[in-house]
Amino acid sequence: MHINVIASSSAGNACIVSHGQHTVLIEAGITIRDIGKAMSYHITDLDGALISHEHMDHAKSLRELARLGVDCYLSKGTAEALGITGHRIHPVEAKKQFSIGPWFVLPIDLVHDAAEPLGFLICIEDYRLLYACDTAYIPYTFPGQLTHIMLECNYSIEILREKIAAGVLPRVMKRRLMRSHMSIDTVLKFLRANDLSRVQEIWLLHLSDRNSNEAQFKAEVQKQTGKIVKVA
Amino acid sequence: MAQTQTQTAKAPVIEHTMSERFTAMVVNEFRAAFGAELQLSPMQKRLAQHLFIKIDQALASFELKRLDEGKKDVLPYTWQNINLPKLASDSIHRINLGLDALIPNHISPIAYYNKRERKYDLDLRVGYVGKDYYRRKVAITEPVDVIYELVYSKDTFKPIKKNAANAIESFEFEIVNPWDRGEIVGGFGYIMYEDPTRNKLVIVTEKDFKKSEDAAKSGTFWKNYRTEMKFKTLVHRVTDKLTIDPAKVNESYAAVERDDAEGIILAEIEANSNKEPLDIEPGQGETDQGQPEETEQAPPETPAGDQPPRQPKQQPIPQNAKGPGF
Repeated sequence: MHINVIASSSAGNACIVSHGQHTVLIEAGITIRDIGKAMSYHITDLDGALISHEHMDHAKSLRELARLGVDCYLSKGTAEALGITGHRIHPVEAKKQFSIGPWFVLPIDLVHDAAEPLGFLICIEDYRLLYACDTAYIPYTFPGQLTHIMLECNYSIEILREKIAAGVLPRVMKRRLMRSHMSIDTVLKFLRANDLSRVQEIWLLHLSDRNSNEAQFKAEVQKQTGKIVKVA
Repeated sequence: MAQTQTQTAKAPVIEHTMSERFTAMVVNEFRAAFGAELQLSPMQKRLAQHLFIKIDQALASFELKRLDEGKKDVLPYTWQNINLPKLASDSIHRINLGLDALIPNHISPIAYYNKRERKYDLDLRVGYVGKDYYRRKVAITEPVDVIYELVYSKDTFKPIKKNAANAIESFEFEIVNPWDRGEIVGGFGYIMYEDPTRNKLVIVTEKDFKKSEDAAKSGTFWKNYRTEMKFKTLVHRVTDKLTIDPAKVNESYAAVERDDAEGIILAEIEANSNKEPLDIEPGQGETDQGQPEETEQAPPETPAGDQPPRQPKQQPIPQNAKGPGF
């Protein structure tokens, strides 16, 4: 399984996951041109696209993808929030597994300030990828031996406290962040709660420009897990 | 010549109690951290002693649990392992607000490991009774009393709103059958002032309780202590209606309100994360998922070779589905 993170920030999120001849897109929060560029303009080769929620940094190019004939999978709440329908728009439900060609996907409900946000457990052959971005925490554990993990790692509570003490960050912003994004502490606890024996890569996604410390986050996850850690 | 004899008087040895030492620590840590002198009144010293007793009991309880669970690799819950500067600052703010840790639901210590300090941060969570206490004190007009009542299905409750013919907002409430009151259907708070024309009735509905339950996501508490959680919600909702006097808002009030929010969110995350095991079953991909939302069918696709079908199983097309979106 190969993962290519095209973008991961509040400005836009998208990543391509491929295995052999098969490819899925996770998130479409960048322009269709940028997605096309990352795929050498072979967008129609996509088996499908998984969209976590309706915020534009995750769903910007959804309409264009559907117009180009890409099957897009998102929750009913997300589709309704975007006001989008069409035969390429497939509403899916948390904890109800479905397939896209050789890919098996289990959507999971996440905790974010969106209509019906989802994460995805994606399986192809022996590989199991967990993708969870834009969530305060993950309610689940995954005993099925994950091989790839992609997690939001947005902020550090210590940095938030310091910013608030310095008057740089409004308190209301801190509450919103804590209720809708995942901290490095929550990421570490999630990793401790899961069997990582088969994990090959851990990706840290959606780091806040102002409230994170990339080098520190990477070092902490590496130290705790002993795995290859990549920051997007 | 008279010989002057200097006699060194032996000062009596004063044994300070643990709680006195805690109070001194709070004052010293506060001075060290903020460079400010702090004089505690006798009442505040008593509150500090009560806080010490509460924290000491909590640490003993945490440590007992740690040992019972055989968590030898977890840092022991001892005073040496507590982040004292933070505790001193948080303690002062709660003492300033007059919160008494020995009154149930005023203050509950909760320990979080601070990896930077390699010590425990004690979150001195302010309970609903404490919130009711300090919020009344910082209200523009301090109420003389606040009545909180949960209303059950067999009770009778009639709100009497203020209008041209009625100068005082009020209510009629009767418990018809105290032995079998039915299900909780809501609650109310009645904020009473010296001038009764200012009295305020706050009604909280079952829908409000549900909102709090959904927001908290702390399923365990709501499942096991439903009545208590509804009563706490009622108190929080009613005390939120007290108009705060900006002139009375001080650093301690601001700090407690801020910590309250952070502590609640952290507790929610702790209580709900990494709970339910989930797995995927390869080969079980055809479910009811992924039905298109409109009548137009996707162009037929032929799966390559013996691969699983590219599309999820389609459901019958709903009759009221909309037309093509593209």
